[in-house]
Amino acid sequence: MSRAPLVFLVSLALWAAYFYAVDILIMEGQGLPVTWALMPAS
Amino acid sequence: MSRSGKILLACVAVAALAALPELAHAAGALGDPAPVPTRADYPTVGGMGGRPVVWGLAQMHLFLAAFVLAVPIFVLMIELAGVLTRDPRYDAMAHEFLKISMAAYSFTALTGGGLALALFLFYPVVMDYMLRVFRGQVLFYALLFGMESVFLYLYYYSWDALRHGNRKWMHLAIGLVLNDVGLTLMFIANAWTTFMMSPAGVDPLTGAITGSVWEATRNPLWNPLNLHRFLANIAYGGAIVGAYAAYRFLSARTAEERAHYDWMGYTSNFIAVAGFLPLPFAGYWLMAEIYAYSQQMGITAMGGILAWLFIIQAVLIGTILLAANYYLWCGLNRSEAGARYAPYVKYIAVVIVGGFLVWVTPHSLILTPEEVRILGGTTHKVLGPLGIMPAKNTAVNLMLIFTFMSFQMFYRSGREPTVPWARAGNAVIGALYIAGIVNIVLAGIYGYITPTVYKVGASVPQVLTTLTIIIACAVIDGFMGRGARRNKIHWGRMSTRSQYALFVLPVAFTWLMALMGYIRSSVRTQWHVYAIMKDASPEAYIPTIGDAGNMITTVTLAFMAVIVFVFWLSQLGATKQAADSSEAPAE
Repeated sequence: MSRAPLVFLVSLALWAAYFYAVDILIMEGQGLPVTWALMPAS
Repeated sequence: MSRSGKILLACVAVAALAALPELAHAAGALGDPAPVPTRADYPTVGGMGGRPVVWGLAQMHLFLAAFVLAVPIFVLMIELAGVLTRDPRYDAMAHEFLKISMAAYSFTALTGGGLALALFLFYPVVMDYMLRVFRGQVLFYALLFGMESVFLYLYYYSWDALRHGNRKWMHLAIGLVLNDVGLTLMFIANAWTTFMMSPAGVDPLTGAITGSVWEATRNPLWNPLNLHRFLANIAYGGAIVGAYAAYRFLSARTAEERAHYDWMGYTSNFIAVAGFLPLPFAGYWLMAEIYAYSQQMGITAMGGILAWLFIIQAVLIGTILLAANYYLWCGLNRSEAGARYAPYVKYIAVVIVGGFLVWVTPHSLILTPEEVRILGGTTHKVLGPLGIMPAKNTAVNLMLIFTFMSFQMFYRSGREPTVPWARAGNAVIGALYIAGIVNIVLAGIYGYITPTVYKVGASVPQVLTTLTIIIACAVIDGFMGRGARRNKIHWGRMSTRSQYALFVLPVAFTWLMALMGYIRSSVRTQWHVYAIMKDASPEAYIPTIGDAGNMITTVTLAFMAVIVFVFWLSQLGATKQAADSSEAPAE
């Protein structure tokens, strides 16, 4: 059985984690803390 | 001369060069404040003020200089590729690229000389101050210009003499020095331009010179403009030689010629797009630095009358991306394997066209009271939100990613990977695209629901995501392509229509450069040197968009005329007249 689907899922999770971490680092690096308080009240 | 004598002479020469800026330093009155020009300080010729003349010449010089400085950069890289791959086609193509730029070189010098004369004639007081600020650097510039000529001619004419073995490396070294000199020339000229926008090394109140030439040179906008022009020049140079290749492709008489110029057109398009993809990010940095230097200057550029020109900019950049993508899609026909990518083209087209439409959507409209009443406000309820930056940043990043995807499809159509991890590699690339695109879209949505400062901040992760996708895909594809089976690429199997896309690129680039030059220069508003030396001429206002449009179009057409002449000259140089039988020597 091909391992490609598993590789796809694992790399999707890793890329998503990578982008999330970089996003937070960049925003905070610009002095813009990312918190849930920024989200509009529902 | 003995060896020690040569070393001594070299040391004296280096010391003299280093001292050049200070030679003029002693002569000028550096502590004096900047002059305050009056209306009488702006001569007119035949009732005409200096602005249209200087504007036209400066823009023309910039077009030509961008072209002749960019071509040696990628010529050197292609020549090196020829050495490393041992494929003589690279060498022939690099030589031909350089041949095109040679004919444009004298026009560059002519317009540069004309610009300098016009500046001294029409703006003597401004030039007096600029010379006081930059002092001996001006002489250094002249020296570099001489060196540029020497190394360019040496590089071109020694091509066949230094063709093989170690001599080839000597030739590459000459090319490297040529590029060093060319880039230094551009960086110096950029310093003069950016000093007028963000002066440094002078007293901010009086304009009196307080620092060294270096301080004036490394003013806040210098490096952002250096990077922006470096990338833009490569894109521009690639677009122009692409048009040359298309012209030769369409006029080719043999299949070999068509194949050669098709390959040349593809390479040119690759260079143009490779230079273009990171350009919006360099532009972003330049604009961010403009805002950081003077918020008022930034708002003049993007929040006032000039803001609408960014919509025109979007139209032009969209045109460039559509043309470049269309050319790449046509190129899939060059190989049988390319056909399997054809079904995906329509999805890429949807994203490119969709992104283009979002980008050109203005936030506020120029409306009559009746139209405002019908619309219920100055912004459209549905389309209005697409006019703000989070939507545009998202659209631009997606357009760039999908343009890269078009490239990737063509690259892959020529190779069948043989590495055992090929399927896993494709899975990693697929996951990267999905995660990256989702991240860009989410960052765009985030921009809508957070305060303004976060909207601007969120664009940086978007940019980094795009760059991550491009770089990671290129690296993975590069490793996957090792030992790959090559599919036959039928160079020359291109439609005539595809070649017109290559003509669109330089025209759109030229018009775009003229437009953005108008914006960059206009942000100084009524100042020659921002907040230091006021413009007292009758033309101390931002030209209207209509006037600017006329000037931009005129200069673009003039440049196109020069380029057509240059292409014709290049072809003329390769044309040999057949011997007339009546003039044949008697036997």
